Parts: sequence; structure tokens; C-alpha cells
Amino acid sequence: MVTAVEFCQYILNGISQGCIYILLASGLTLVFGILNVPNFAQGHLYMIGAYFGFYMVMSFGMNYWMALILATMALAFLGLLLYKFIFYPMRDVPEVNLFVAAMALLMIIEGAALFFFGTETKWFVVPYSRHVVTFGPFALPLQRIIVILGTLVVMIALQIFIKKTMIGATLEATAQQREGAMLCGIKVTSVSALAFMIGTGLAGIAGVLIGPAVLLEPTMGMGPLLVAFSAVVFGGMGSIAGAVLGAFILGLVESLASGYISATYSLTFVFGIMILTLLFRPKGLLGREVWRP
Amino acid sequence: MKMPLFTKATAWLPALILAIVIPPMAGGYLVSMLILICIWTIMCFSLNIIYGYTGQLSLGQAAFFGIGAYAFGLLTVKVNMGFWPAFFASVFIAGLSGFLIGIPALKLRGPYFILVTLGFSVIVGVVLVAWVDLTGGANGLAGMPRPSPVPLPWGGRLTFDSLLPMYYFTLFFLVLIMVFSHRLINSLIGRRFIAISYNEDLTESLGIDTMSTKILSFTISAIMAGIAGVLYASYNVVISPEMAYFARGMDVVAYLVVGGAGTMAGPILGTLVLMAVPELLQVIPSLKTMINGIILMLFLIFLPSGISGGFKALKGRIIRSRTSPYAGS
Amino acid sequence: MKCDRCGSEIDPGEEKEYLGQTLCEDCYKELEREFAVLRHMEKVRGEKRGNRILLRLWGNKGGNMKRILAFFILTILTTMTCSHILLAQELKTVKVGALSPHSGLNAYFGLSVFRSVELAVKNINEKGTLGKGPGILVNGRRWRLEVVSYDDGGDPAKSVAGMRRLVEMHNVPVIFGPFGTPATWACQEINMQSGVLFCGMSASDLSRKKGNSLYFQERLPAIYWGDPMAQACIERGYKKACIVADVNEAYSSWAKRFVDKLESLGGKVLGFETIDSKAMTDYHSIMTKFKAKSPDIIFLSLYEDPQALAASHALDIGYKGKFFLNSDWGKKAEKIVGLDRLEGSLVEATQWMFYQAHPEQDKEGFLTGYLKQYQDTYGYIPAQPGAHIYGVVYMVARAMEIADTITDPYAIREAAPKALQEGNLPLIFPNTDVLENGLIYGAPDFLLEIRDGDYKLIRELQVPREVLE
Repeated sequence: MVTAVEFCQYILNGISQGCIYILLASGLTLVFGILNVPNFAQGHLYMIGAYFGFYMVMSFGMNYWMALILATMALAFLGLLLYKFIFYPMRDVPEVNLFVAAMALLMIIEGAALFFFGTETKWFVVPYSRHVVTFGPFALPLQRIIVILGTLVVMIALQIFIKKTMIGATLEATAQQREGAMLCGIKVTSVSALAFMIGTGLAGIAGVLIGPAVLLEPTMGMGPLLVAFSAVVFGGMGSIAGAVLGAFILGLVESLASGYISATYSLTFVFGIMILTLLFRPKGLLGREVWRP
Repeated sequence: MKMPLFTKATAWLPALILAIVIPPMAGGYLVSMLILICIWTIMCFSLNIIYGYTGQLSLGQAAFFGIGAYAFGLLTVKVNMGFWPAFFASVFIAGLSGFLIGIPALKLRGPYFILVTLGFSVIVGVVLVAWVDLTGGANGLAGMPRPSPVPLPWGGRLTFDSLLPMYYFTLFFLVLIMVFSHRLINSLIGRRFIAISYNEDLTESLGIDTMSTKILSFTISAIMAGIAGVLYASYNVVISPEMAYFARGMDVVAYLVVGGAGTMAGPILGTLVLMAVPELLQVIPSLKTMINGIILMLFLIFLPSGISGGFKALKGRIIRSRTSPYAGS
Repeated sequence: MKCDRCGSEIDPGEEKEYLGQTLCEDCYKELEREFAVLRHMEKVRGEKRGNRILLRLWGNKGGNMKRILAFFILTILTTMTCSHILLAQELKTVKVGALSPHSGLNAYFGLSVFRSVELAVKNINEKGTLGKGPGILVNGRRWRLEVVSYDDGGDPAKSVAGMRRLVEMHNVPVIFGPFGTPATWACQEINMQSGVLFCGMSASDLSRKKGNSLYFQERLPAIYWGDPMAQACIERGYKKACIVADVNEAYSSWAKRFVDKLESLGGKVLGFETIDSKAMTDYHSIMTKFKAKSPDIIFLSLYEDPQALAASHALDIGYKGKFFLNSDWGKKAEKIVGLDRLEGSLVEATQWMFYQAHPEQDKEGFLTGYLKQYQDTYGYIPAQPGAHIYGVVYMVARAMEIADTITDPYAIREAAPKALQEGNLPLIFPNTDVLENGLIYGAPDFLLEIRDGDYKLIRELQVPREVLE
């Protein structure tokens, strides 16, 4: 029997899970729109963010919010390094090589994480870890509410940055038409680096936000990455609004499918949607153009 | 003054002789490593067909590997089919799935195609784990038979229960697939593959049906992956869903890129190097992924054509000073 | 001058140069055409310096020198790795194998198993099996034990590969592990052929029925605890239950047994979910589904980490009922969820949790001693399976002494019951015998209830021997 309470609880669960996908998918689509690289390592960068926050708070006793800001900066800096040493030198090679490079990056990060962080799962404990907020028949852990609010803040900030500032405008311009942007005197290299940094920074924020609510382990990024990829495709590659919409919908789909059909097969539904999108409407919901070779 | 130092044949023959002669002298552990290397080399050849020669990067090879292995497992364990009927049936099933998946998937290009193959691989992995009644789920499937004993012309039988005969069995298939690949690539169809990898639209404009050519390439590679899967199931006696995870697919890509995509020696060299390294570092197993990733990254940046490519560049440099590559062509 | 290509005469001043060759104009024009095609296919690129045209192969950034250097370095590396494999290592002491997951979601268990084997071996090497001198005494000589381990990542196919490797490369007579029912079943397929004795850590009732004569099982099949658990629920008036079970046969059959017994005693099962806990990280949906049915108690038939996750997520969405935790429950899970939030929940446990909460009840002190040593050596509290395997190592070492062999697995297996029957080993779990099917038998389980932040012992549980034989 479908009760309204149950249904609403699934929606709540789905929204908080979807927020993580939103952050990851935005980063993915931004990088893809400007660099034409599907950054396969995004999930592992999110994992690094979570571990970074974990060590800052658990080993160094830092305040959680400080750790969040620090992690974001650290991840953005890491993104800069990655761009400078890997993706910039490879900017002229066939695109498929970039994909394989992202894969190699994923392997390196995973191996390093396994080695340095250890294989056992870790629990990120913050003062309000166990606090559950109930409103009526519904309940949501405080951490998940933080995730939702945090995502909201970040996405609004991102939107303001892109639409209202000069630098944001250069980002949009480069994504729309790279050569045209170059003609206007925009330094495409710097813009690309910035895009990459924002992408990795978003992954870092996502990691620290969700860290206290899940188990930390070196492969924790793969699941969310796959869903984020599906969201990017579903929403339309290169469109941030599309990524947000896609991630949000897929988060709900995952939650509802887990509850009403089967938890084990939930990833199949998410991926099924991605595959159907690719076959029947490759543009996605809000995408601008079909990828051209 | 034209004197090539090696023809292709003279390079391969000593390698083959070594592959046949060394294992009986080596310990059981080394032989089991060699069996695995052979199986993964076959996987590399599978990827080589669709990616190395036809230019479409597929992350779904692990899925066909899993389908081949599980089809074989189910047919032998639950339906009690004999080894050879099950072998052919499983390979056929793997090829059929390649064909069916290829039809919609190959309509897409570049990263879209990669993502679809990835999605397919993930779904296969999930189904293998979740459909417990059929596949045994995470418990895996056990009890796959080795090849049926073969009567020898001088009396007695050759059984495959021990490692050495199993090694030669896998080696036989590896050589078979290599020879097949070589003939395929040098045939008319092979040239079509290569043309597609250079420029698909241009090839289409020359009147070649790229869609069916790509599907053929994909199906052939799925068949090869299926063969690898069956061999693995038979050798290891136990299979589990983990083998079909796309992480295995990524490993195969790494092996191929490092070895040299689009060459005949590439799959062998890449698999050998990237599988031998973790053995050397068995003391620190968690570093294996990282080392493979670093090696892959170094190759991508400095030597994207792989070890094979490096060899060719070397050869070209030696020979170029003596002859013009375009003279007399 | 003669043209290098076609051999015809060239008028002086009209010769063209191409890659060190002299050509006539016609041949040069031909090559130019070829060059155009190749250039279109992006295989070749040209540069004009003065009157000369230089050709280069496309994609030659950085020049060939770097490539050749890279190629040589890699060749050397490859040769080194290959030669390293071919050089075998000779054995000097008695090697024993440890097979368990060091990675993946069961890493906590697997690493505890591996480290406990190392700890036991260290203690035996220092003090012997009965406290009488270093190492073990076999054939009049003293031998050191050495642990060789393999990480199977919880994957049955890798467990088989690991077993093969340990046997073929290191010649171990006995292997401690693997952990988990799927891995155990996989290894049972090949251990007889490989001639190795092993202790599978499986809680499934089917593992002992395979007729494997080189097999130990250190835990009683969990399925038999289903009856007393259901009884305990009915006694307390918890009639409505929901269950989450791992897809692993041991856990799912246990859950089904619980269901059958509960229903036969008048209870009702409102929800039953079978999931792969190694892949599942989000239990909110399942718990939401359960909560909507308002059960009295939720039985978590899962490993330790997933139990903690599932319980946390149930509490996250406002579940107010009780839980039935299983014997994998440990200190790590307890810290994560918090005993204060589990008031009234029941635990089907070994003595592990109870003696940790009440060390004064641990008369022989073996559990407390082991915990202290493990914590001092490795810096954290181990998972329970480590304590189980610790005793098995002692049993096997003593069996080697009794059977006077370090190479014959059959003899060691035969001597194992005697090792336990002597009753002198420092066993954490007081087992007294090994059944013919390999089950290590004797230590009772405990039924616990969580009250006021503490574990209260309700009663001891035991399975009659005849049932297990």
C-alpha cells in the first residue's frame, strides 16, 4: 500500500542524495563544456575531499566548517595542478586519449588512497552526527539537511558567479564557442584552468558535506560518479542547469526505485535512463548541441 | 642497401618457441600466472579490434567476459552440458550480446559511445550480483569443468586437471586469436576498420557502410572476450560477479594503451608488463592500482603509441637513414 | 647525375633532394603528390627552409629522443620484473598461509583475521603452544612459524587464486581463512586437489556438508540461532518483525529460519529484504519502507559495518522500535550507533561483546589479554573474527606437534581434535573438540539485551552436538 508518508520520506531521502549528485554533475558538465573531457576521476576527487575533511576534523581537531572551506581550496588547488601537468599538455591529442588519461588519474588516486588511507572504512564523526530532525511523521538527519542547504548555497553562488561577473562571462563564452572566445582576446587556457578548478572544488565540497553521513572508504566515489555521469547526459552535456535538473531527478528516481521496486537494482534504473537518453535524445533535457567529432 | 633486420615472422617464431618450452621448467605458480596473462591478452586483443583498429573505445569488454564466463558456468553446472557444446554456446551468446548491444550503441560517437558501453558494463555487473536465483549472486558460481580429456594417438589420455595442459590449452587459443586478428586486419574488412578509425565520415562518403562494419568489429571483439571468459571460468573453477565490473574493463584499456593499440605485439607486451609489475610488488598490493595508473599516465603523455609504437619509432629511426620509406612504393 | 629512384639522367641544377636522395623532377613530382595525400591523412608534415623542404612524421612533438629514452627505461623495467619472478625464494621456516580480504567492505574483518594470525604466530614463536619454549617442537627440532598472506578482497575467484598461490609458491600445509561463505565454498572446490588444509570462516550450514576432509570451520552455523532468537522475541511481546539479510547464504538462511520460527510461534513478518551489503551504502529507502509498517523489531542479518549503517539509517528516519543484532556486532558498530539509542534491543552474540563490557566475568582472561595485546600492537580494537582465528592457529600448531609433521595436512587434521581435547591451549573461545565434518565445537553463544547502556546476559545458547554431526 502506498502511503503518503512513506512517499514523502522517499522524496526527502532522494533530495538529500540528489544534492550530492548535483554538486558532482555540475563539476563534470562544466569541465566537459569547456575542455571536452569527461572527467572520470571526479568521483575520486570527491572521495579525497571527504578524507581531507575527515583528517582535518578527526586528527587535527579542526572545526567542521573550517575544514569544509579548507578542503574546497585544497581540491581546487589540486585541480589546478592536474590541469597544468596533465590536461594542458595533452590538449592537442585525440579526445579519446584524454578520457584514458582521466581513467589513469582515477587509478592513481584510488591506489594512493588505498595505500595512504588504509582499506578499512572510516566514520567521520561531527558533533551533530546523530542528531535527527523530525517534523511530523517525517525525519531527516541534521547532516543531510546541511547537505541540502550547503548545495543550495553553493549552486546559487555559482550561478551568480557565472551570470553576473566578468570572469563568469568568460567561462560561458569559452564554453559556447572556443575559437570565438579566443578571438575576443579571452585567455582560453586560464579559463580552462579555472573551470577545472571549480569542478574539483565542487567535488571537494560534496565530499566534506556528505562525509559525516556515510562510510568513508577509498571506492566511495564510484557510485556517485556513475549517477552524476548519467545526470550530466540526461540533463544535457555542457549545461549546468541541465546537470542540476538531471541530478535532482535521478536522485529522486534512485530513492523511489529503491523503495518501491528494489534497492539492489536501483543503479540499473539510473543507468537505464542514461542509455535511453543517449539512444533517443542525445542532447538530453537542456543540452545545447550534439557532440561533433 | 635495403635490408630489413626482422620480418614479422622471424620475430614471432622465437617468442612462440619460448612460450612453449619455458613453462614446463617453471614452477606451478608461474604457470598459473602465465595462464592468466594469456587470458587477459586475449581480452586485450578483443579490445584491440574495436578500439585499436576501429577506433571506438569500449569499456564494455568486461561485460562480455562476464557473460561468456557465466553462460559457460550456468550451462555446465545447472544444465550439465558437456565442455565443448557449452564452450561454443557461451561464445555464441557473448557474440550475440555484442551484436545486440552494438546496434544501438554504435550509432553514437566518441564519449557518448564510451558512456553507453560503460553503462552496459555496470548493468551487467548489477544483474550478475542481484539476480541471485540465476547467478548465485555475490556467492559466485563454482564447479566449472576443465576441458574434456583428449585421447592421445599413442594411447592414454591427456587430461586438463593440472596446470601445464591447461596452459597449453589457453596458449592454443591465444595463438589462434592472434592469427585470426592478423588475417582480419590485413584483409579488406580490416582495412575498412582502419579507415573508420581515421575518419568515419570520410569512409562513409567513399560508399562504405560504416554501421555494419562497426557492428561486425564489435561483435568479433565480443566473441573474443567471451572466449576469454570461458577459458577463465574453466581454469579457475570458480567465478564471481566481480570479474564483469567495469574496473576490469579499465584494466584492459590500460594494458592495451601501454602495449600499443592498433598493433599485433601491443596486447601481449602491455598485458605482460602491467601484470608482471603487481607480482613484483606483491608485498604492497594496494600500490598495484596506483603503479598501473602511473605507468599508463606516463605512456599517455610521453609515448601514447605504447611500447609497440616506441619499437616502431626506433626501427624507423634506424632504417630511415638508409632508405626512403616512400621509394619504390 | 642519376636519379636515385628511376635511374634517368638529370640535368645539372635541376636535381631535387629528398631525404638524402637525389631525384629527377618527375619522381619528385610523384612524391609530392604522395606527400599531399599523406599530409591530408595527417601522417606527414612539411616545412620549407629557404629552398629546401623538410619532411617530418606527424605527431613528433618532443622528438624521437625522448621516446627512445622512455622506451629503453621501460624495457629495462620489464626485464627486471620478469627476472624477479623467475628467481624463486627458498623456505627456511614453516610457512602458514593467511587468506582474507584486506580491502573492500570487509576489510575490517579481513585485516583483523590477518593480524590475529600474525599475533598468534608471534606468541607461539616466543612461548610455544603450551608455554614451553620457542616455536613448535616437531621431529625433535624446534621450528618457527611464518605467515604468508594474500588479500582476496572478498572475491571468491580471488580466494581461489590466492589459495593456489599460497600452495604453489610457498608450499603451505595449512591456510587460515578465507573469510566468508562464498570464498569458503570456492576454496572447497580446489583445496583437496591442492592438498591443503584450511579453516574457512563461514557461518553457513552447508559448508560442513560438503564432505571435505581438509576443512575446519571455526563458527557454528548461524542458522541454529534462529529458533532461540524468535523465542526471545515472542517472550518480550515483539510479534511484528522486519528483516534485512545479506545475500550470502549463511545470513539469508539464518533470516529465513528466524522467520519460520517466529511465524510458528504466532509472530508476523512484515518485510524481508535480501541485499548485497558489500555494495549497499544507503539503507534509508529500505528503512523507510519498514518504518511504514511499524514493526516491533528489525533483525539485521548482516556483517558488522552494514549493521551499523542500517541501524544508523533506520534511526535517521525516525524509527523508534528495537533491533535484533547478530553476532557480528562489535565495538566499532557500537561506537558508531551508540548504545543509548539501542535501548531494549537484543543481540545474539558470542562471549565477545559481553566480556568486553564485563571483563570481570572473563575468568581465564584470554579474551582480555588478546584484546590488550592486539590494541597495543596495532592501535585499535579488532573485529571479532580475529579472536576466532587466533584460537585456530594455536590448535593447528599444537596439532602439528602431536602429529609430528609440518607438511602432511591429513595428519595435522587428524590430530586437531586431540589438540583441543587436551584442554591446555590458551583459547579465547573455550572450544573442546573438532567434529568429523570440521566444525570446531564447544563454546556457547550468549543472548544479550541492551539495557541502560549496558549488555545484560539473558541466557547461554548451545546447539546439541548430534544436530551438527
